[in-house]
Order: sequence, then C-alpha cells, then structure tokens
Amino acid sequence: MSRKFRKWVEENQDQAWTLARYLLKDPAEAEDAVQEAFVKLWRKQESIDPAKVRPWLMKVTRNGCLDRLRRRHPTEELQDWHQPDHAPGPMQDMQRYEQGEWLKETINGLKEPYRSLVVLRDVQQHSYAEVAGVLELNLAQVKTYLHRARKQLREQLAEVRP
Amino acid sequence: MTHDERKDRPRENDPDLQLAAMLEQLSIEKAPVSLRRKLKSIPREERRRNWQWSWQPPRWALAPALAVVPLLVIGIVMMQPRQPSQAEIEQARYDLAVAFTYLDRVGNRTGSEIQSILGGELRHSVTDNLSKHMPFTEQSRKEEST
Repeated sequence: MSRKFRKWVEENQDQAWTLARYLLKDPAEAEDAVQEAFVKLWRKQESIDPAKVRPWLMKVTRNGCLDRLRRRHPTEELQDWHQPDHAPGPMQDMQRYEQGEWLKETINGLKEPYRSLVVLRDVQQHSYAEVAGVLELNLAQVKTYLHRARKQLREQLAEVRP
Repeated sequence: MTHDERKDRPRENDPDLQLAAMLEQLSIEKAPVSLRRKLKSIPREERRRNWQWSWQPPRWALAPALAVVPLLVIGIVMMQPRQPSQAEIEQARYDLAVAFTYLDRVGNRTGSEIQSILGGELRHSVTDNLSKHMPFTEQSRKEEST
C-alpha cells in the first residue's frame, strides 16, 4: 500500500507543488497545501481509481489553495476576472526581470479559474479532459476560458512589447 | 490581413507565438526537499496516528468486559465486613426507644383497663359468680339465651 502511495508521490509531487506555488505564492503555505492534499490521498487511496489519481490530486490541491485564499482575502482573490489586477511593469521592468519571471508574475495576476487553467494546461501540459475534471468544467468551458486567459496574457505581453 | 501576409509576418512579432514560446519555457518546479521529506513520512505518520486513535478491543471482548465491572463492584462490597455506621446505630436506638415506649404505654393501658373492669367487680365475686360480673361473659350469656 505504501509502495503504491510512494509511487504516486514521486509522480505528482512536483506538479502539485507547482500548482500550489502559482496559486498561493507563499512557499510555506504552498507546502502545507500540498501536504494536506497528499494526506487526503493517503486516507482515500482505497476509494480512488488509480488511473485518476493525478486529476484527483490536482483538484484537491487546488481546492485547498482556494480555501486558503478565501481565508486570506475573502473577496479579493476569488472574484470574477475582468481586468488584470496585477499589470506587468513597463519596459524597464521587463528589462529587469527575466521573461519567465515576468510571465509567472502575470499568470499569478490572473483571477480564478483562468490562473489554474493556464498552469494546468500550458505549464503542466495536462489534457483538456484532465483540466476539465480538475476544475469541474466542461470541455467547451475549458477552451473558452483558456482562450480568454491567453488573450489576457497576450494583451499584457503586447503592452510591455509594443 | 491575408493568409500570405500572416505567413510572412516575422515570428518574433506575433504575440501568439511569443506567448507560446514563453509558456514553453515555464517548466514544472521541483518540490523542495522539505516538502519531499514531509510527503515521504505521510504513511508512517498516518499509521502512527491511526494506531493511537483507532485501537479498539475486539467486539466479542466487550460483553465480558462490561459484565466484569458490576461483578467486581458487588464482590468488593460483599467482601467488606459489615460495620453499621453511626447514623444506623442512632436510628436503631431511636427505633428501640419508640418500641419500648409503645410497649410501656400498652402495658400501662392494659393494666388500667383490667383494673377498671375487674377492680370494682371483684367485690361482688364474693356473693356472685365471678363470671357474672365480667362484661364479656354477660354478653355471651345473653346471646345464648336469645
């Protein structure tokens, strides 16, 4: 039993960690969220389909992170996304940060579920079906929201790279 | 913009391609060592926790265990030598005093009753039959005659 669990840990810990880091930003809190998710996995391992462990784990990790965000910022973090609240810096900022850092910051500035969508699909390369399962959306919603999220990122990229 | 124009457009100026290229560079981050250690210890911690909180005796052992408790209590009580308490001694003394008082009063009343009935009548017993002057014998004689 614990060998199977160890295999799941090895296969999924980095992805769960990355997702938690994007959602929570605070590393200590992200560690706690990932640990909680894996403890739940240990307790539920008998009832989980082994083929669906990864989406299940991503979903639990994400929900744990969102709960933490709700406790931290009850209204700010989870409101519907209309405008980026975290506009990237001007060109000189762009020069200051590496491209990757800038993009991480920009993704962090997206609202839910756009942020999770970009992380799960574009950073972690999950399939559309897996993303839909994690976020409890249908495929059409996943594609639509992902399109909006990327558009938002493109617009911000155009602002710093006219 | 025609298809050809789009095709001819330099790749580096296409925001779609730029974004895709940047996203490709973002990799999955390695979980820190501290987290890896915590995750590895989950099975051990959970087993310890479960042992601490969920150990229970087998169900068949519950009935005899429950029956033993009252038996033990009864046994301990029975084995103790019976010593009346001070309150019990006081109560017994009081009950005894009441009983003696009652007997005393009953004795006095009976004595005075005998005295009142027989005392005066005994004077006539010299000339009459004694039973004639006793009320209850008089009564029984009347009943016989009727």
